[in-house]
Amino acid sequence: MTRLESIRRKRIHIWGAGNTYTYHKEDLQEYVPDIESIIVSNADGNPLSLDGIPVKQFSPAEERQENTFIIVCSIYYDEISSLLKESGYHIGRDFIHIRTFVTLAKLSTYSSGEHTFIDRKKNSDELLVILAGYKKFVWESVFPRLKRSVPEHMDVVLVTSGLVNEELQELCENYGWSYISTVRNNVSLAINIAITRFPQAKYIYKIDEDIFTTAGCFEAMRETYDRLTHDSKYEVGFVTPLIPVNGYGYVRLLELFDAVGLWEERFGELMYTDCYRHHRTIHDSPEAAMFMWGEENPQFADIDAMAEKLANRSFQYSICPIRYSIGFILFTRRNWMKMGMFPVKQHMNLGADEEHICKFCMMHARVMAVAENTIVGHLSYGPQHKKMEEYYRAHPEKFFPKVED
Amino acid sequence: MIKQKQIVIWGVGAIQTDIEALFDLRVAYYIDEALNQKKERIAPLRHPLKTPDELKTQNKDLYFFIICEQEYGEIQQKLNNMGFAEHRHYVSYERLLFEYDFHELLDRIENQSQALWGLGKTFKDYNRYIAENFRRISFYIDEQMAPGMKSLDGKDVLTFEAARDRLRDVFLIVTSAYYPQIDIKLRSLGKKPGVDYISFYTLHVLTHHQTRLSKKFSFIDRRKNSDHLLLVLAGYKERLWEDIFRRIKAYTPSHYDVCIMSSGLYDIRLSEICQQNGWSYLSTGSNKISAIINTAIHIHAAAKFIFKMDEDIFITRGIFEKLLNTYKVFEKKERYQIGFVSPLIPVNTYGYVRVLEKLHLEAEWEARFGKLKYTDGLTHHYEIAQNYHAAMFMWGDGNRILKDIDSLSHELGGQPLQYSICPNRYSIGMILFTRETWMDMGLFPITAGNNLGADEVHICFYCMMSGKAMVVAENAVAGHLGYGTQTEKMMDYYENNIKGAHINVGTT
Repeated sequence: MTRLESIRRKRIHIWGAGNTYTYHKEDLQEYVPDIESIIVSNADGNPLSLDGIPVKQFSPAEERQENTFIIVCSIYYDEISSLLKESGYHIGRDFIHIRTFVTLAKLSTYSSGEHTFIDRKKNSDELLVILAGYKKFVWESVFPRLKRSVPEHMDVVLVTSGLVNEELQELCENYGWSYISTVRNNVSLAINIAITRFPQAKYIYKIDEDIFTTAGCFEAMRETYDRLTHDSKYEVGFVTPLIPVNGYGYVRLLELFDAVGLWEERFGELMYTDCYRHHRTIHDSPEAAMFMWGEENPQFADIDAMAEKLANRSFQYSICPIRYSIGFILFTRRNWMKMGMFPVKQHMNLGADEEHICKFCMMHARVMAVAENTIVGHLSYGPQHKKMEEYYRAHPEKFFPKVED
Repeated sequence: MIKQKQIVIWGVGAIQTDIEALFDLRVAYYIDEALNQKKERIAPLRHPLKTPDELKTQNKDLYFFIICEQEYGEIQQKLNNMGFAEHRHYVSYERLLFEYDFHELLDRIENQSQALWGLGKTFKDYNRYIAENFRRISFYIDEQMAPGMKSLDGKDVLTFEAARDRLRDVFLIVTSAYYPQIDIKLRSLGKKPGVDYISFYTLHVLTHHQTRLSKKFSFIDRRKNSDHLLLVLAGYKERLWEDIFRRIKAYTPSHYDVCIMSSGLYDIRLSEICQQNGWSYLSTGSNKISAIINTAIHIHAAAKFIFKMDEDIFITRGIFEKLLNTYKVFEKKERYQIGFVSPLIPVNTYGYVRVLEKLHLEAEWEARFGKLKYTDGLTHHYEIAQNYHAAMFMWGDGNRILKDIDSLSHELGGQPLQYSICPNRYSIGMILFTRETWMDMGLFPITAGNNLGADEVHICFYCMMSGKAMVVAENAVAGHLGYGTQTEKMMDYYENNIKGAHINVGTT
C-alpha cells in the first residue's frame, strides 16, 4: 500500500481555513475525497462550516484520536507542529504539511499504476516513447518509418495505455523495442511510467502513433535542442519538428514552401492558432488536412522530399509562443521532473499533458522551439480522422516509406 | 444595433430561453443542428427553424446571430466560413450577457429567499458552487424525486403543484435540463424570466462577471467617455509619484480617460492629483488588484483600448501612440491574433534581453551578471528580477546609454517600426489590450490574498491557450524601477540618480 493510500484510509482533518487552504483546495478535492473537519486555532470569527465541512477549534486537552490524520494548511507550520507534538501527535505518522502531502500524492499517483513491462533496454541516454494502440490502420506505415529513422543507439519503448496488444508486442520483439502496457487508460500516466522505467534516459522523445517520421528528424531535433541551449538566449522547454497538420507548423510550412496564397484562396485567412479558439480550419476541416498532405498543393505532396529540402537549408528554428499540439516532442528528464511530470487526475485527461507542458514552458520561461530543418507528417486532428482514414487508404504512396535503393 | 437586424439564435434550450427574455429579442429564426437529441427537453419552437445553408446570403448585414451553445468555437468557424464576422454579425451569449444589467438582478436574488428546481446532474455537478453562492434556499422542486424524498438538508423537496403557493416568496433558480418547458409552466402563473426565475447556466455567467468586480468602491468620476482609457495602479510607492504622474500628464493624449486606482486604500494625495489633472479616482477598501482593474474597466464602458500601468513605470513621450500603432500594424500584417502589446522595458525579464541586444551591451551584462537569457525571473537566470545591481545596471549604472530612458525612447522611436513576440510569462507593468480581449479572457481572476501576480498569470496563460501573441513594441520605451526584492535599494537609487532627471528631454 502506498503512503498516500495509507493516509487516505485514516480520518482526515485539515488544519487551517485561510489562504493556504484556499490555494490547495483543488489538490485536496483531488486527493482527499472525505475530510472530517477543518481545524482552526480559534473558532471566533470563522464560519461553522466551510465548503460543507464542519469548522472546529483545536482543543489541546482532547486526547489524540487513533486513526486520525491532520494535513496542515498554514504558514504557521512550526507553531502548529509543536502544538500537535505536545498533544501526542507524531509528524509523518499523524500529521504532515500540505505541500509535502501534495508532493507525495503526485509522486504516488503520477508514475505508479499497474502495468507490464517487456524490457529490452540498451541503457541509452536517449529514449523514444511511442504512444500507440488506437489507430491500427496506420501501423503498417508508421512503424517501418520509425524503424528506419530512429538512431540505432536509442532506447525505444512502445506504450499502450489501457490495453494490451499482441500485434504490437510482436512488432516490438522484431524491432528490439521495449513494450509497456498500462491497465488504466491515461496518457499522462503511461508516459510517466515509461520515463520512470528508463532512469538513464536524459533526453526523451514522445511521439503519437499517427506521426510519420522522416530521415534525420531525431538528429535534427537533438541538434536544435543542443544549439539553442548553448548558443541562444533561450532556455529550452521542448523541441518539435515542423508538422503540416498542426496549428503552428502549418503557417511556417506554408510560408517556407511559398504556398500561403494557395491556402488563403481555399480556406481564408492564414493564422497561427491554438486550434480551438479561432481559425480552426486546420483542426476541423478534413479538406485542410488533405491540402497539407499535398492535395491541390503540389509542394506538399511528398513529405520525404520536403524533409530533404529542409535538411539542406542552413540551420533554422522558430519559437512557438502559443499552445502547441505535442504530437512529437523532445524534452529532458530534468524538465519532466521540474514540471512535476505529466499530471494524472481522477478523470480522463485527454489534452492535460499538452496543457501542462505548454503552461510549464510559458510560466518557467522555457521555450517551445520548432526545429525547422526537419518535418514529420501528422495524419489528422480528431474531427478530420474519419475522412483522413479514407484518404490514407486511397493514397498509400504518401504514407509508406519509400523503397530504399 | 442588433435590434434593427433579423435575430437568429443558434442553439435552442435553457440559454436561448433566457437570452430571448432578458434582452426582449424579436427572433426571426432558430438554428439547431442537434435538435433531435434535445426534443424531449425543449418547448415547441416559437419561430421557424433553419439550417445554416438556408441563411447564406450576399447581404451579411441582414442577420445577427446569437450563439447559445457551449461549443462556440465550432459554430464560430462555420459562420466565418459563411463570411460572417464576430461581433459585427454574431456574438456568443456569454459576451452578450456583459451588456445586461446584472447588478440589479443579482442584488435582487441575494436579498430574496431562493428556491431551486432540479436535483439532477446539474445540481450534483455544481453542488459546492450552489452551497457557496445561494445561501438562502428555502425549498427545492423536483418532480421525480419529491414523492420519495421529503427533504434535503432540512429543506422541503416538493412537486411543482405542491410548491405553487410558495413561489411568490422566492426567486427560482432552475437547474433542470427541462428549463424551456418549466419556463412555459411558470409563465402560465404570470411569472417572468429574469424577474422571478432564471436558468442556473445564465445565472452562473452573470455571477461570474459580478464576483470579479469590487463590491464596495468609491469613484470620483471625471470620465470623458473616451474609447481610450489609461488605468494606473497606485497607492504604495508615493516617493515616485511626482515623476510618474508628471510623465503621465505630459505624455497622455488629452482626449484619453485616465483613472488612478488604489486597491485597499483611499489616499487623499492621489485624490488631489486626480482633481488637479482632471482624472478619475477609484479606490477600494479590500485589496484585490484584479477586482479594482475589472471594476475600472467595467465603469469606463466606452473604453475600447485599455492601457494598464503600475505606479513604478516611467512612460516616455509618444508611448501611447507607438503602442497603438504597433497594435494596428501587427494586427494587419502578422499571422497572429493579439493578446496584448507592451513597450520595451529594460527592467523586465523579457525586455532586458532585447534592450541589451539593441544597445550591444550583452558582453557588459554577461561580465557582471553571467549568462544573458530570457527568463521568468523566478526559476532560472534570476539576476534581472532579484539582484538590485542588475536593476541599477539597466538604469544606467556603469553604462551611459541606459541612464536616460527619454533619449533611448527618442532613438528607438526614430527607427523603423519593429516588434517581437514574447513566448514566456511576461511582467505586465504596462500593457495595452482591448475591451473585447478582457471579456474574452473572462476578466481578471479573483484569488485569495491581494491577487498580486494573479492578473499576470491569467492574461499570459489566456494568451497562450487562446493562440494570441504577447507583442512587444520595440519603438516604445518605458522604465520600470525594479522588481519586489529590488525595490528598497532601487528607491534609494532613484532618489540619488533618477528623480526628475529625464523629464525635460524632448518635451519642449
